Amino acid sequence: MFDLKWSGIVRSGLLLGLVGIFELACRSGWISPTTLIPPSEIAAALIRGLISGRFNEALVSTLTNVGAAVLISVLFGFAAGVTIHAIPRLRRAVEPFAASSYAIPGFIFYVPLLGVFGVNDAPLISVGCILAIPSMILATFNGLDRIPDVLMRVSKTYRLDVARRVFLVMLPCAAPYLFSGARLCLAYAFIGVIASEFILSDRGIGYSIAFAYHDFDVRTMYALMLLLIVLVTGANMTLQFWEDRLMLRRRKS
Amino acid sequence: MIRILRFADQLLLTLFLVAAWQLASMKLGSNALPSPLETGRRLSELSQTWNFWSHVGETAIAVVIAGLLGAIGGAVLGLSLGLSRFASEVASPVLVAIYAMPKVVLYPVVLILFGISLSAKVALGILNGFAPVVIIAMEAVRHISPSIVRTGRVFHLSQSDMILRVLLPATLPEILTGVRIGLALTIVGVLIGEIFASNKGLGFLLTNASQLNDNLTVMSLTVFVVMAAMLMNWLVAGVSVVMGYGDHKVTR
Repeated sequence: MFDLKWSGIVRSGLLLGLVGIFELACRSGWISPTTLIPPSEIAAALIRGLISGRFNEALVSTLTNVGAAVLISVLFGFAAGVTIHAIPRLRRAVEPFAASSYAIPGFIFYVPLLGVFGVNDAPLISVGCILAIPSMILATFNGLDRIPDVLMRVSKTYRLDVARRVFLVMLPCAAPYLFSGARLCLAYAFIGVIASEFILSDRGIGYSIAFAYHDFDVRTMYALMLLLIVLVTGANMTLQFWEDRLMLRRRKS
Repeated sequence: MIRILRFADQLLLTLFLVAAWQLASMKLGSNALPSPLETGRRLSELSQTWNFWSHVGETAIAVVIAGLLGAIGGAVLGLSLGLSRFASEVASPVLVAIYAMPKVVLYPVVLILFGISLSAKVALGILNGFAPVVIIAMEAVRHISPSIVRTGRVFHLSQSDMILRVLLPATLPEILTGVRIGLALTIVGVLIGEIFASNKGLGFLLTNASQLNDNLTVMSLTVFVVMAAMLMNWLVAGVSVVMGYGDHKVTR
């Protein structure tokens, strides 16, 4: 039986090997420099761009919009989830829609939203929210469904008011599932904001990548792509780590 | 009776959403947000033209090719990886990272490789749609009864026979769930391809209408795409029900 750590070592080795193959292929001219530049040069371009502050404006704009979309989605999704969960008839009507929302290409709403809000941050944040809110609503249902009845009965025995019941019993118990919803919100907010920046925007990482592509600036284009891959993968892995820890703690308790 | 009540509740919710759209349209003005009735009328006009259906056909061809390639390739890869616990442990985090990535950023690379063509749209569709099929197929193999796999090994089945005769039938319900998610993402990929690099298809029509500030056509096309995506999702769910697997709940 292989140890889990071994799988990590092999994975890293395979990824490094793949990068090495691309490096060799680019250096030896098998891959044209107009198609792909050596990975080491992409990393160097990214580091130079970050040190010089050239990417700062795009980075701040995207992260601010993603942050706003996540905050709105988590708060609105949680509030809507709690409200809908409390009314079984409403839940029966909403749940199938929320569960099949993944089938809707949410970024398509960006174009009509441009007509409503104009070219600014509001349509970008809205698309992030459209993609993310259903996940948070479903995660809230999931978390609330898993609160043991005995805990609710104990909270009633102690005559806790609604606020205390929510903050002392319901939220801690549903936390791992809510965290899972928040993690999905982050992934979907990134997808929504970046896709919309690509389509039509005047700021952000998505816009900068599209601009660099149209400007034949392959170096900047790949550097920004690498930045995005590192950002999204790093954020997801960090949240996944904390989610796993929360789930483990809940299983133990 | 419960089903009728549930359907009635869903109908009420739909009516509520349409009413909210109507109110928003009245408040913002029909130039910014066309009303449901205007949108319906425009969609009806569009659907009576051959040009509209030729664009729908272009998108449909790309979605079908990308969907089939993504589903078959994803299922084969997922089942193969799932056979080995170690291989799935190595691949799983990478696949999850690919799934969470906004793959739209890769469109310049796809364009550099394929140029403005059907292949570029199909490639973007596959890039978007294959990851969930692989992840779900892989997880499904890991959760099937070990005795089924052991029986296959006792019969000395080859890798291809093992996949076709044992793993595929045992994991088909889960794979169909993966295909539902994958197909939805494939539609997104193809539309993105058409928005950026095509002179045909619904994505192209949408960009064209947007550049002409024709919000009514934009809204009609948006509604059409949403309805088509939902219909495809229900069709795959229907296939699952007809095959006797029931409607598996999809979790994102």
